[in-house]
Amino acid sequence: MELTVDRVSKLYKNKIAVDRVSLRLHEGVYGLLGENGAGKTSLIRMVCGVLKPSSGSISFDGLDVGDEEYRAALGYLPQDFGYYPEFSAQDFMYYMASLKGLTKPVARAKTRELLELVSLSDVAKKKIRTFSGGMKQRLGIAQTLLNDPKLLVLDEPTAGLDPKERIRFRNLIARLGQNRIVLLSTHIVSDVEHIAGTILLMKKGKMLHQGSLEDITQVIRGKVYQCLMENHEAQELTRLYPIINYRSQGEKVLLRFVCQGDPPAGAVKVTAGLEDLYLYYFSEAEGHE
Amino acid sequence: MNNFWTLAGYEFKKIFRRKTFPAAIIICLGIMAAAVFSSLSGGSFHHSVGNDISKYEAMELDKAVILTNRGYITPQLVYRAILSNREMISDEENYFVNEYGSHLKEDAYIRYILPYEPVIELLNKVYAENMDWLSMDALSLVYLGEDKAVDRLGPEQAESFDADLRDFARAMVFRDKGLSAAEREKNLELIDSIETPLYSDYYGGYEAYIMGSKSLAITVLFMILLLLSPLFSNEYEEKTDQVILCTKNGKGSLCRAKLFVALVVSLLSAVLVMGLSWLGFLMLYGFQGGRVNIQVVNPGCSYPFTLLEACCIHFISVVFASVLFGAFTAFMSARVKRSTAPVVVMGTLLTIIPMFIWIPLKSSGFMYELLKFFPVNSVTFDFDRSFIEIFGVLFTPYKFIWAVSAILIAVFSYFASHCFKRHQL
Repeated sequence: MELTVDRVSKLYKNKIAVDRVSLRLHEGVYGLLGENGAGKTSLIRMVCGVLKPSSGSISFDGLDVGDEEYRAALGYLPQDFGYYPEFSAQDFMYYMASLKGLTKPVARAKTRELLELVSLSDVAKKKIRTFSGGMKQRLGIAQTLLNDPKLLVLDEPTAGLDPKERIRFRNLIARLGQNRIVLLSTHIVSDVEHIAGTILLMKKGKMLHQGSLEDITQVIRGKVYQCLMENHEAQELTRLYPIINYRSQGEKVLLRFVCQGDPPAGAVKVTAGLEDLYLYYFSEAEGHE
Repeated sequence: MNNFWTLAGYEFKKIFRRKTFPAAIIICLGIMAAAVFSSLSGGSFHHSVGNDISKYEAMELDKAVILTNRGYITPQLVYRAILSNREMISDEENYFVNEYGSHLKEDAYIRYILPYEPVIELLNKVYAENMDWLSMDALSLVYLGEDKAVDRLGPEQAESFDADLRDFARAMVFRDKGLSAAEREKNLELIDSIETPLYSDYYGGYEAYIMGSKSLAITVLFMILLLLSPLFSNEYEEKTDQVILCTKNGKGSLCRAKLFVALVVSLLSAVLVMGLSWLGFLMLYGFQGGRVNIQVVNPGCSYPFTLLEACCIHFISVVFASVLFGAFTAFMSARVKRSTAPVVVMGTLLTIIPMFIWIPLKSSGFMYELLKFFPVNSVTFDFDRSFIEIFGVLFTPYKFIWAVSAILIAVFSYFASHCFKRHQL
């Protein structure tokens, strides 16, 4: 099982949204991280065949992205998931099942199973317009799984879910990644950190890093420090170092920052996480690169 | 079939569940009812003058009188009609005089003219001295002069009526300056094939249907526009296009199902609105009149049709125009980037604007014929004398429009599907 993205670019008039991105993905969960406008959604849409690349090619096990069989192997949850307000959850699932080419008995069984999985069985016959944002999101996740996809693409799947559900879905996605390719785009760094075997970091249309959490945090390993200091000292430090976190603790401030050379007095080296890396690249810390 | 029928079922469900559906149905039923009943309430019936009876009762009484002479317009019937008119005009008691002049009394009309009304109206047209006519469609040949030819006819005229009728139709052909020599020839052939004697009957139901047919057909077009404009654009608007287009059947079966539904909805809208209205008119006025030759109503018409045949041809034209408009609406719906509103606006403009463009045949034959291809014009009850000439071959306009419509339906359907499949997010 292999998804190949070969030198894919997308140009909008005079703006490059995706710039010659190449990837080879196998079974497992891939977390796509990047700030807004980094090109994540464009890349995902091209992988799903709903946006045509300006150049390059995308294939899955030799099937071109335009092939019907490619789409048969695909499950996609878009960022702004659309639905039919007047349809019930069950109707919507049956409809999606028909689009995915499932037979009626299979569609019924899968719908029952998946609505149960996303805790929507009780409201299966209610119109979607009565659903909360989280319920719609769960329905969106359920529809992606109808065809038991080999390639599952999820754009912000946990947006709108409460923390308990988010953890449940995180676990579910991790489980799904055991025998398929799961490409997950999110702003929630902790989701990626917990479940993604490989992290793909995008910035300004380019693939900045790709690798395991270990590999990817290599850039800032041993360079992340934390210290508790007076407010005026903290203000001074923010001018000198890329600040990852700034938290008031009583009269003092707990500062987490990246330091390339000798750290200031009292600073303690801490283990670098994905969030540190993300903030290092995409927050105001960027100015210190 | 890759779930084609299931997907088509869901497309119907989407249409039925939209708020525009009950609104379109209610408006449509309202217009149909208004068309049927206003034809009666707005009509003038001879028995209603001075009598305290309803319009329906008056119409029934008029009809009963006209039906006394239903049948072929033989020389004997023409003879009796001329004599009856002569008897009427010779008796001054049948007229009253006021400051505006001398007027025929209504009871005299009912007694002498009404039993022969279709025949006498026909005689007045065929034997009119000056050809001062206004004709908007196959049924409306309005004489603009004041002459009542029947008043000067003698009974001997009855024998030559059929030949005179053909001469009149031929004269109308030669009077039409925009026709080519080949078109004139074709019209003369058609006139020769008119079977005489003509058949006369009470045709109030057919007349009312024909009069209301254009507004009903336009109602059908607007109904189609309302129902089908969200066909594809709603997917863009609701953002469901993203999930649909990346499913196995999203670019194949679904497109076919949507187009199938568009064609069925257009077809059913036309058949139901026109069919039910037609039935409504006939139920109100009576089912008589189908056998009446179109020349009884308009002796200048070249086509050898009965009213039933002419109405059937018109009905088929409305069906073709509606399905073509449905395919075109589907194409526009797939073509827009996001919302449904531009589809409705474009469809409305394309429906309304051609209605107000009229180019005389003698000015530009091409433009004259081209305008007929717009659905709003092809639904006109029109059996005029022009033909479509391609490489020297003459085609009957309505048949040619059907054929071209069928091709355009296929073309628009293809492009609608193409636009949706290639829609980029």
